[in-house]
Amino acid sequence: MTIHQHMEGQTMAKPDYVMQTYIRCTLDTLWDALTDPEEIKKYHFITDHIRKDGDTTGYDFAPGAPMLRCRDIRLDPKTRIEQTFEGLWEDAGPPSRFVYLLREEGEVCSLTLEHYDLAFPVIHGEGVADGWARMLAGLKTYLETGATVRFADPALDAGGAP
Amino acid sequence: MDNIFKALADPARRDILDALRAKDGQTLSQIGTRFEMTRFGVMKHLGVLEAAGLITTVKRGRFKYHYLNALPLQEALDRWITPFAKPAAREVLDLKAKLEAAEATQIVTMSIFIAAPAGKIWDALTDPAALAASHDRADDVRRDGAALTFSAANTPFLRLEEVAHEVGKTRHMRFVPLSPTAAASEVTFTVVEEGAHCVLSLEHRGLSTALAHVPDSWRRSLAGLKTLLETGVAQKFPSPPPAAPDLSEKETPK
Repeated sequence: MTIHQHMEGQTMAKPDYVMQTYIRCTLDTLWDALTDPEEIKKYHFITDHIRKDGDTTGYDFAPGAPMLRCRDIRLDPKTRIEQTFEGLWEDAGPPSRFVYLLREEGEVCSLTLEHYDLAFPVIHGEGVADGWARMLAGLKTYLETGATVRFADPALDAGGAP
Repeated sequence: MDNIFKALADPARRDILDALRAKDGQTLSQIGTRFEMTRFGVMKHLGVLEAAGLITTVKRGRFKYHYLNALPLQEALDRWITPFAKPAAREVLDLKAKLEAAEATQIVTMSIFIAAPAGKIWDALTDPAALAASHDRADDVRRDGAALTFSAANTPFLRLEEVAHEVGKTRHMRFVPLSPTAAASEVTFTVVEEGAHCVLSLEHRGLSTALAHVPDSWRRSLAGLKTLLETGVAQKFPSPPPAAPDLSEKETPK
């Protein structure tokens, strides 16, 4: 059984981590910002070495230094994105998966992130919780101002935490 | 109670408690160096101990410090040891009341990264105009000394009263719901500078679970504050009115 099949069977599970943010943008621009690697490059908190190869988005710390692999599990245009989360850094743990839920609320959008199948407890301000907060902060800044701000923790070198 | 005995049943977790008894207030890395265990192994055990209330944590900037919390253990002793020495109905009732009270409140923690200097973030957090422009519900915010009153449609619904203020670091506020009324709780705001950007964190303790809308209201208001500080343009992110039933998605059987 592939990871893909294994994970599809578990979509009803309870998320291990949930984060929600609100962005002044249209559903179209939010969808593009979350699915187009050329867009993700403009706000990712660690790297701009991002490419999509078939159904898999690869994130590298630097060329030849892979950081994260995300394979599409299911894409529902403008509504829902489900991908694997295969951390390739040291101590990243086994593969997990996450879901983005997009919703239009009048002139703004709400974005909910749900992370499932994490093998370790989520601690506020650390690990994946910290990574998602930085990632979605950069996304909101990019969509609202057009500026690239990488919300990396300056105290960590690029080879450190997710 | 089950959590406490489960937490104590593991030798590695008892070792971690011993390590904290020897030296309270250690970080994950400091605790980790004492054991032949992965970082995530230690994290997992700390999670179990924290869930059982046997340790408590304090976050300062990037570091999280772990402290022994002796109270639950004392309560467990009072519950299971003392009754054999004297009638314990009173203690049990006290404990029950305490546990029930604890269930009715929650702690809400969230952080938002903002591309603005710390000084501007603190200014916005105390400026009635900036708060009125970013809060999801308020259309008017008045300042009265160190207290802020939030109103919507001329009805005050919330007072935030400053309790303590460590300039440029933290601000502790009493959160007093006016409409609907509910027990007062405590909010701490922290701003930490990370180079060119900052992280604004909020910890809301003792929030009545009856006020179910408050966590999302914080998320929406912090999103509005980030937008205001980064773009200079006010943008509210109010809760949308309940959606009309969408027949295409939900087919209700008759």
